Amino acid sequence: MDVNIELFLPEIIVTIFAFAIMAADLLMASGERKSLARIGIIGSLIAVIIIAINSEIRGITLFGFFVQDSVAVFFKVLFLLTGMLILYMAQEYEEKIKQFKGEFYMLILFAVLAMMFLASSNDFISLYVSLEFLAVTLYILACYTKEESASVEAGLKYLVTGALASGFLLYGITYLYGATGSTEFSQIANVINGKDVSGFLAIGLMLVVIGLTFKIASIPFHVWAPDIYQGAPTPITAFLAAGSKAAGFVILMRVMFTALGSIRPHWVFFISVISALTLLFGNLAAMPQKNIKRMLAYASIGSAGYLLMGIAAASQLGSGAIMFYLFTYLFAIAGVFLAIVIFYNSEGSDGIDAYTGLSRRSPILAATLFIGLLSLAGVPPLGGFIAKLYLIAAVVKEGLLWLAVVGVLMAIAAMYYFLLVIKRIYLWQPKIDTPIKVSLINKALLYGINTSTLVLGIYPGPFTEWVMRIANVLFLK
Amino acid sequence: MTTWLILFIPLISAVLITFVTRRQKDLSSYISIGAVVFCFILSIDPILNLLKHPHMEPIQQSFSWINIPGLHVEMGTLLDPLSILMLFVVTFVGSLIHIYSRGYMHGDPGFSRFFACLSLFIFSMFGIVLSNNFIQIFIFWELVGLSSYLLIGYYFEKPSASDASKKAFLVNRIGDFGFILGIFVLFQATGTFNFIEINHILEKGGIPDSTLYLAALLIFCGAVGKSAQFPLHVWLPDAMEGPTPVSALIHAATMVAAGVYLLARTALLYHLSPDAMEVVAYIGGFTALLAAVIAVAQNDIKRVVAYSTLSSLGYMVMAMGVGGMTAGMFYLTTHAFFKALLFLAAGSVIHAFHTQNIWEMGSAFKKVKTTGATFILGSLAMAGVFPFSGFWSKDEILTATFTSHHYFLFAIGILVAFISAFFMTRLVFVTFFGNERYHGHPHESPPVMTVPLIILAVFAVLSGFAGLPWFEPNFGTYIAGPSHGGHGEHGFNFFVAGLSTVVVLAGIALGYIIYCRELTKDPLEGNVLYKLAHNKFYFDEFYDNFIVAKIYNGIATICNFAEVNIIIHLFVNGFAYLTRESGKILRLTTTGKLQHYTLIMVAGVVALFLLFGAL
Repeated sequence: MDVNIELFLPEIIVTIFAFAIMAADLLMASGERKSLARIGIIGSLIAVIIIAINSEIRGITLFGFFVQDSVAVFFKVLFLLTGMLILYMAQEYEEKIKQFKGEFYMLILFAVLAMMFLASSNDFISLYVSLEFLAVTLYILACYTKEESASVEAGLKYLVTGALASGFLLYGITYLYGATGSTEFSQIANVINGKDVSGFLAIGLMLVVIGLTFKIASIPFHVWAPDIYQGAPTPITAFLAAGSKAAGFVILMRVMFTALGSIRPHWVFFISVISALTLLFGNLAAMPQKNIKRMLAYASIGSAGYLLMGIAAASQLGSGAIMFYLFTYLFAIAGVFLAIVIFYNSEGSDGIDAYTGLSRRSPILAATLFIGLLSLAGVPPLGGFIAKLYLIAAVVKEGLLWLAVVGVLMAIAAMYYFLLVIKRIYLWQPKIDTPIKVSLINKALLYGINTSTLVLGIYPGPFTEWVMRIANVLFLK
Repeated sequence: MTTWLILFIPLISAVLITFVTRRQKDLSSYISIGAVVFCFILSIDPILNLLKHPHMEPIQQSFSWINIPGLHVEMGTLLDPLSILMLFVVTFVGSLIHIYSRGYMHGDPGFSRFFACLSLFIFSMFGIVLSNNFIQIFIFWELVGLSSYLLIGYYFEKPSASDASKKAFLVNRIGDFGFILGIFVLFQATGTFNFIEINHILEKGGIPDSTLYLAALLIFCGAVGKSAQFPLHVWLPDAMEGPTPVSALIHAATMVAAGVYLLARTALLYHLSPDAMEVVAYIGGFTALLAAVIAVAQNDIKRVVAYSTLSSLGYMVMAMGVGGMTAGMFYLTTHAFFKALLFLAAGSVIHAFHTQNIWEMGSAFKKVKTTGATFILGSLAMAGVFPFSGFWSKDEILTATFTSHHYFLFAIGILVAFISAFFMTRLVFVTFFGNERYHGHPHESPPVMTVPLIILAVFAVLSGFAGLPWFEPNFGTYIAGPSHGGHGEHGFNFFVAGLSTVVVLAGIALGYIIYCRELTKDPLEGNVLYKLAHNKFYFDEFYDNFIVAKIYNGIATICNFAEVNIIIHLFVNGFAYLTRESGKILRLTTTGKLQHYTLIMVAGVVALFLLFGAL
């Protein structure tokens, strides 16, 4: 089989830029490394442009391990965009990192690379290798501020729980291999089509799904999220929320729809129950939280529950809705976490208490949290509303009314805990009223992110059509 | 492209005034006036185009807003004779009212806010007029509700104004609820929201009559709310709490006409459901009569004009109900001119006399000659005197009623014509002639107010000739309902015209006899009918004491019970309990100890396997 380099040119570019960061880091005098973030952003931008130019090139290469299709293209663009925003956020955060500043950016770029490979994985072997590649970079990034015990603890917990989950996933893959004699998705689909679901196949399916719930932070492998979200450096928390979760969903979509789509009647209830439990757990547990990052961790568990509704629906609408949700989610998370970083740099706290009266101290930060949090809660006319609407519509269309009811009720719960923060920001008097300085470029970026959230909510038409067209690919036989 | 520009210029103006130029009052007003005048200029091209091609194909420009499997919602504009006519009315009358407002609102502390709200209103109104589908028209329908709420409650520090704005908003919501249900019924039946597609599907037939009937009635609810038809008419008179230009703009020429426009837009649906049309016709006729009688006994100059508006709206709805779409839209157009004129002239009188009570004016004509002259011209048009515009348009409605064999409604129409002539005469004589009852030194308004009056007066007098039945092309060439087979006719019936002229003259004569002398209070005051009419037939009391006190409070009691016991105790406190408990459990699970985490993970896997038993 030929190796078609054209198909993974963007990955090559990102690799080169990651190494370029490392080399530049060696050559530079000690001190700040913000320029390295810019190298990474430029590299990601070039990769996006190459994807855009080559967007029509499709195919399978590397002995069936690697597929380039429109789903992969969509997610690669999403990951590169996430990477750019995280790199930007990271250089705002750089003062907090004492050692190995350069490697921080390099690892972020490598994590993006791993996600890109995940988006293209077409085989359980390449899936597993890419997943571990991603996991290892994230383990390091989570405990990057070594001086803080919370960060180190977070990294260690992430590593151990991650290894456990990875074990379950691998165990499940072996069962699937045992049942079908293949690790490639399309061949597995061919073998199981029309066969009874029992024994190895069922055990394998359940173990693989359970193993993947670690990446998306859903029941039963959600336990790591609160501690790690709170303890990790804030840009990495945002990366885990927006990037890692999206990576989990692209492989869930490929495994559940491409490989196991034909036995959907057997797993739909299983996924629905996981989705409902995750929705309930994440949203209810978010209510009493005092730390904003910890609250967002629970909210992100809740989001995983919503996104699983799209997997349960297993339809064009459901998958399109997942992609729409992830995109609006990225903007909401990027805005909110950038605001948190700026706020932390000025105030040195992540406690929700500290945000009291923020609107009088910095209107732009307050507005960003307002729009970002309400979009996460799913309030019209913001992007998050449309995304939730699509997901709920998707499960209703497939007859899963009870799941839709859970989704709607938990959207109300989400309104509650997000509005508590917003009430504090807008209606309460601040204890100190010194304004918080926000640099011009940060302001511009926040405006851009907020506008994107608004535009996705007010005029979702073209973007919806795009994701629905892409989603259709998953269900073409 | 032009249509999108027309739609969004007022929005840009509203945003600009709100966020940038709020402090510069003059600039704000110029932006707002400039926006609407520019829209008027932009709409000249489509109007000329229409005049050249009377049977133009509708021009649609749309993009899809939400397009997911099973649901397609678009945003778009539709230019056809109907929307172009409305566009002309809204931009033309709107421009004059904007200019007039600069004089009328002079020195008001909320000057910029007023103009921002006006621009927002114009934007919403354009949205209704230019919509090509039901979802969009509904969104703008609500936006019109919102902006009228803001404008009616403009003097929000006055409790009566804020009450009136709330009332208008809430009463409209009742109608809108039916409207949205009707949209869903129609969507269920046809699978689309687009007006033209719906018409194609309706033409093909195959939809059960009961569905059409239901959809038509529910959509009519929307029109009943916006066009203030019985039984939701109560908000319009109270809405006079807003500044007078607002009354002229939204309660005479545009917003209240939206209901009639909606009926014209969905004319085919009603055409296919004759039963629904009968309901529309009788509701309209009843509203016309009821409001005309109430108008006789009002002493506030704006309220008289407001009830005459109600009565006119009833007339238009009645026309729609008897299949006279051409007549109804023609009346809407001429009415926009003369009613805006009457409101603005009334505003000019109020501006001069600082009172709205006609019994505190008297002999006003000497002091405010231009205003008085234009007001009298408007009154003649309103009364329907030959050859003013109101004569031609009212006559067509009567002819449509007569030729469609609705003789009872025809009799009501004649009666309303008589009463209208009577109360307009009363208003003119008590306000402008007779003995002086005012205090202070009233003086004529500045040209920025009187020039728009004069322009409107010209249209109030002459616009009727657009519908002369003997010449082609006339108004009906352009605007035609489905029952005319695509060609609207201006019927002329000498019996109808003669009879209406006789009763109008009789009404004027009666008004002259009773009111053209030295008076200090209304000579009819002791009369029982007068008392009933003066108190608006106790509709507000009925709504407050019966509907609100008994039914509404009964529902409120049930809701309260449900709220306290189900929502608060079960959901809120239950949620709180659940949260506290889950928090406690969480404190147990999130010990921070890694061993516990891994234990939970493995236990979760085991639990799932037990639950699903390997599926």
